[in-house]
Amino acid sequence: MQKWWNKYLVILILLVSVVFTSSEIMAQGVDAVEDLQFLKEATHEKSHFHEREYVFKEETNAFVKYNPVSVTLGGLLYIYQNSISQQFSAKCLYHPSCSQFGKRAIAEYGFVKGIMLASDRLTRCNKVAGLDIHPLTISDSTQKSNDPVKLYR
Amino acid sequence: MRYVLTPFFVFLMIIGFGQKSPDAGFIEHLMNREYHKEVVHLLDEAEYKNASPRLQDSLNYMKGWSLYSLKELKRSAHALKLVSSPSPFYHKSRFFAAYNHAHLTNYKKALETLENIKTTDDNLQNLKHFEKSGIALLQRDYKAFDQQFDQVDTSYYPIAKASGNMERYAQKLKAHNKKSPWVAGMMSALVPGSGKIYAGKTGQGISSFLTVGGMGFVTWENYRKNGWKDFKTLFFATVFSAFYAGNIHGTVMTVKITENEFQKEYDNKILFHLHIPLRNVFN
Repeated sequence: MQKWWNKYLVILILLVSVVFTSSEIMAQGVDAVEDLQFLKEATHEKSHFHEREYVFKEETNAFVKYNPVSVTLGGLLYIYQNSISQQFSAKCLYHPSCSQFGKRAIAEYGFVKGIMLASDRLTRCNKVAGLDIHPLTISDSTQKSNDPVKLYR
Repeated sequence: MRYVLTPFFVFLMIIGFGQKSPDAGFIEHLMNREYHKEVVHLLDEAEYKNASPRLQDSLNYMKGWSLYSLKELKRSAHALKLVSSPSPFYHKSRFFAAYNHAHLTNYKKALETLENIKTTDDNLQNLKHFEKSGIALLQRDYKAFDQQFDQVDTSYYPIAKASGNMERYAQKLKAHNKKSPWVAGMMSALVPGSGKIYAGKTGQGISSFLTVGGMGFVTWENYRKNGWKDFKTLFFATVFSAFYAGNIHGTVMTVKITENEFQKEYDNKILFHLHIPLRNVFN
């Protein structure tokens, strides 16, 4: 009789514990997810490891995607962004970064205009040219000058 | 039995109504403590259409002010414009609603809101002319600016400093000459970077000159030593060409971007000096 009580008492205590603690875990789980989401969003722009995909990944035109010039250019950019750039301590003055800007410019305006915009951006990314950055273009979140490709339509 | 039930139902009704209408004192306390999100949340949830007109005005003002503090300017303007003329918050609400419209570049609505403000007070009329002159300047309508600004008493202390600045900005904007993208492009074609200096970006011009000029020099040096058929000459010539063409194209775009930056900077300055007198008069 004594054993029977002990067995069910233990099960009851376990069940009650599970019920109470699971609600706490769930609550913590929600908070933890929100916290992680917040951290992800807060650090997304500052991170060095975002949007480092192959420039022609989304391209639907097979000729544009697989011709040797595209593959060479895209490959070089991919290697630069994923292997070389991350070794530099110096950071770009602008947002998006020069390599990202080049990628987006080529994707949006095509090869010729994209290359022209990217080369012009490279000549602007130094401390002498940085003296001309307008304070109104500096973003609070990234502390960099906002210079998106859409400005160059 | 009915003597017992009637007061009981009356009590329930009072409790029911009490729960529906928000506690203005508590909301004011939240607003003063700058819990603006909570103020907006409470007033969004509450129903106060059946409250007294005076209470409705106060609640609309508090909602509009909290939304303004949260920079939700469109909703703020809507709530502030619900405040009716008998309310002590009427003038403040209307002036700030007009300012919100101006900030959202909805100048027509801003002018309409100012035009519809009912007041016989000379100081508020003066403020009205000042705000209208600022909005005219935001529209770059210099004729309307002059008309409104002539009616402003610049000795009225809350607007004295701001009106001086506004006049200065008007003069600068009137005197501003837009740079030609064609001229800038041609200049950069002749001397790399010179078009950017013409556009007002001296640092960028120097940087472009050094980069493009340096690449041109390296290309010429390789050509002189190795001739055109050498890989290095072809490589540097390709890179130089890309940077040279990019610099011309970039110069043309720089003129457009610099002009936008100039206009945006003055818009911000004008809005700032439209805002300061409002805070001086109503706070």
